[in-house]
Amino acid sequence: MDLSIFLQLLISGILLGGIYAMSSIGLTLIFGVMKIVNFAHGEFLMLAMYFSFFLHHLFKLDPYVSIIIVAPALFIIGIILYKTIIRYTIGKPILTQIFVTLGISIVIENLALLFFSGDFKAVTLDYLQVPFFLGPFDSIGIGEIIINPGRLIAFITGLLISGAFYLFLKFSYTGKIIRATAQDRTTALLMGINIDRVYMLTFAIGLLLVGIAGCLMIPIFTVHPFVGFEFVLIMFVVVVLGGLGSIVGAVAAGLFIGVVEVFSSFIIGPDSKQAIYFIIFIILLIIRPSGLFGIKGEEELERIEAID
Amino acid sequence: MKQLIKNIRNSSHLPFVCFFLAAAVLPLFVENDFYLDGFILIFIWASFSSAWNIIAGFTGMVSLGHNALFGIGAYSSTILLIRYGISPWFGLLIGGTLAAAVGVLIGVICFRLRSHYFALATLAFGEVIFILAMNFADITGGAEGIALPIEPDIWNMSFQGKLPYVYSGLILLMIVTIVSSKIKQSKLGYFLIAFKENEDAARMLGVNTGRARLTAMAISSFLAAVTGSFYAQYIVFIDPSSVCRIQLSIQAALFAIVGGIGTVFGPIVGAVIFVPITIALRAVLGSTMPGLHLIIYGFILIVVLLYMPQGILGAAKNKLFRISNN
Amino acid sequence: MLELKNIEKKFGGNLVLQGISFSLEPGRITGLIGPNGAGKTTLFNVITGFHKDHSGTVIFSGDKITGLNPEDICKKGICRTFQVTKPFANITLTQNVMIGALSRLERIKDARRKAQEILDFVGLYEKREILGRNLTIADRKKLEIARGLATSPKIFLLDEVMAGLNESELLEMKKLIRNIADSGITLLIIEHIMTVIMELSQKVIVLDQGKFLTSGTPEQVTKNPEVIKAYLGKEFKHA
Repeated sequence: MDLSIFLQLLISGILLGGIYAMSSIGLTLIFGVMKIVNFAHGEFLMLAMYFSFFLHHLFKLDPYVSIIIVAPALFIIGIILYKTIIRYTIGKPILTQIFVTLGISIVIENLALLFFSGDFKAVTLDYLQVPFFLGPFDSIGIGEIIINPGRLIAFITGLLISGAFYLFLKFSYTGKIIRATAQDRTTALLMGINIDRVYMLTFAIGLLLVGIAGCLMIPIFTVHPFVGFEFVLIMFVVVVLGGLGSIVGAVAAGLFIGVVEVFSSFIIGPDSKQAIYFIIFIILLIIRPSGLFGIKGEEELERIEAID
Repeated sequence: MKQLIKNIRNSSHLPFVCFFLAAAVLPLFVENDFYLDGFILIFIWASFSSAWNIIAGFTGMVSLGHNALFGIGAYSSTILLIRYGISPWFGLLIGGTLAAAVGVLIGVICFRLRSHYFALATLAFGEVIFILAMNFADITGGAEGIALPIEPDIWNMSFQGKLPYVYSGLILLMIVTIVSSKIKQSKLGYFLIAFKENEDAARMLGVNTGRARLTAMAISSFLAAVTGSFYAQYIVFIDPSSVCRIQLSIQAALFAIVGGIGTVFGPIVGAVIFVPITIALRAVLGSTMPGLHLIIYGFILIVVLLYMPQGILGAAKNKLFRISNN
Repeated sequence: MLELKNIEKKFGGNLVLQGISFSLEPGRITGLIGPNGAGKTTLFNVITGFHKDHSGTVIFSGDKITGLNPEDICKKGICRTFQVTKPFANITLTQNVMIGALSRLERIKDARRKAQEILDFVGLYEKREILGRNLTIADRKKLEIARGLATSPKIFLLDEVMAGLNESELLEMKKLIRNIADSGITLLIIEHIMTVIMELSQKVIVLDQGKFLTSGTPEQVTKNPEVIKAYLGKEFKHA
């Protein structure tokens, strides 16, 4: 493979991966703290994309600015859903947790179909239409590398927010409480932590994060009622690869999956790219079900979940 | 009266003997194809849901990949028929066997995973099969699908009119139900319950939980695939999104959960309730409000899981239990 | 009958069992005692195959059973109860015990008959149609024993089946354990209530901090100054 093409693919992959990472950290957070796999996570991403789309469509609000409306809106949706439904699934059998969140996803997906129709919708931002170039670096034989500005913005913002969130978990009082609950629910309870509140906050923050991701993604991807399902599958691969509950793991796994996707689309063709990461996923489950980064006992502070 | 209720509770099969009798007799008096179609779909989806229930309900291992097994059945018999002229009667056995092998493979790989991971892993398996069906267009017809020949011929499992399908579907459902019921009352059934309730205790009591689950998975996969073959024969057209999509697994779960998960007849109760509603809502609102029925089902699923986790049959049994014990 | 040779087991970097060797003779009640953290339950887990990554060998009736799965060890004739009882909560007691019986029997009918005999033996026959989740502590312990007995063990390991019982339940349990021993089953029992161990067992094995300390008759053990120092000392002084 030509070195220029290789670099081009690598950079595109990393940019795409940053987006995957950003959209997955809410999911991994919710699992790590609440031990719930949120099957509706993709639908929340879809909702956020629609919110941002309509804010742009109706009020000409820039999608990046719309974060200040969409993210809090998702946060509030998170609180409402937690209070009405999610809290009653804590400690229930896996079957209940899976199908309650699946039920939520079905409802949201079809409400979107009902209200927004099945049409594909996209936001086109003029200032993102001109790609910019790195290079050429003739001296080392590398040609121009095209960078899509929308993806670059999503990548950088996504990483910044993931980083900020990581610091929040690590150093803020609330973050410490969340991590304490993730590590040992019973002890946290004995320490006087209001578990119910922590869960509510966790779920709402998880949605807030995916809300930001939605706004960053709407200038790049089209939205339709079933887009959530497409993305949630990638998110599952990312969070399992990263070790369910690990923020750092999710970011690394997101980048990895992005790169794998871009390379496999190039080499094998775009149709089978999904099959590739599902196969990676299955192989991973065979050899290392705790995820690449879910190493027991290692990096305890980074990992917010002890494998139970 | 109390005695009567006690008898009903103890002979819990009675309502279902009635159900099968009614299901056998009623179609004879129905002349409208639209309603006969409803009967056939009830039988098909009840069979599929029962097949899912054998692994997910009996063992608690939630499979989200049964759509792939259904699809393997549908594609196997169809491809064997169209390409090699093999009768679907054999095709469904071959497809069933293939699916059982795939099911065992899934089990060998995934059974040691914790239940969340198992659900995700089976979901991934299902998606891989879906993508394969989409992309190997030479064999599967890809997204365009495959149309089956429509020449009534018993050898080709292709019939004139709806009634033969009604009765083959009914026989399929009876077979699935009998298998499910036999498992429940057998040694295997006890082992599966033991695993579901507490794996450590089960193993200490000599239960080979791995083998028991693999057996259940093989049977469940086989029956799911056979149902898929029959479905393909009935609708005479298959594509990945009609026989392989994840929604099929979710639908199977919905029927079983609302009817009573882990019970033999729960999936039938679910199908009897939901299939007619689906058909009616689609017929009335399909064009103006697509997906409305799914919104309703989503709500029902959530409410049942939170407030009536044992489903309709579980709740009814508890009620009878209380009355007869008073 | 059961012979342990040089068992070692680590959790992370900690040696929780260290050079444990002893053997059990058939048809007796042997007590396994030691302060908290001595490694008693861990040793049960090793014998019954729940822990695999240990060194040393376990030999049962001449066969090496190290590395076998719990279900295979059960088939060989070793069963145990769990300290934290694990009843099958949503099925009846009869069904609970039938699952144990089915490890030896093929037919459901036979298993049911055997289950009912055993429930009668442990004194739960009247409650046979109750669900596993609706039991008192004493009954849960009895159910654990009943299920284990249903697998027709040659050696039965009891993990604190007396804990949490009141005076009359204790008497009943002691009688039950004697009856089991009288039926020819070799028993190894972990117990914290010292008087019970002294009363029931013919031989006592003492573990301390993962090590074999001593063994002997209850009298010998109680008089052993090391044992008194390690463990009994405190308790007996208080008693």
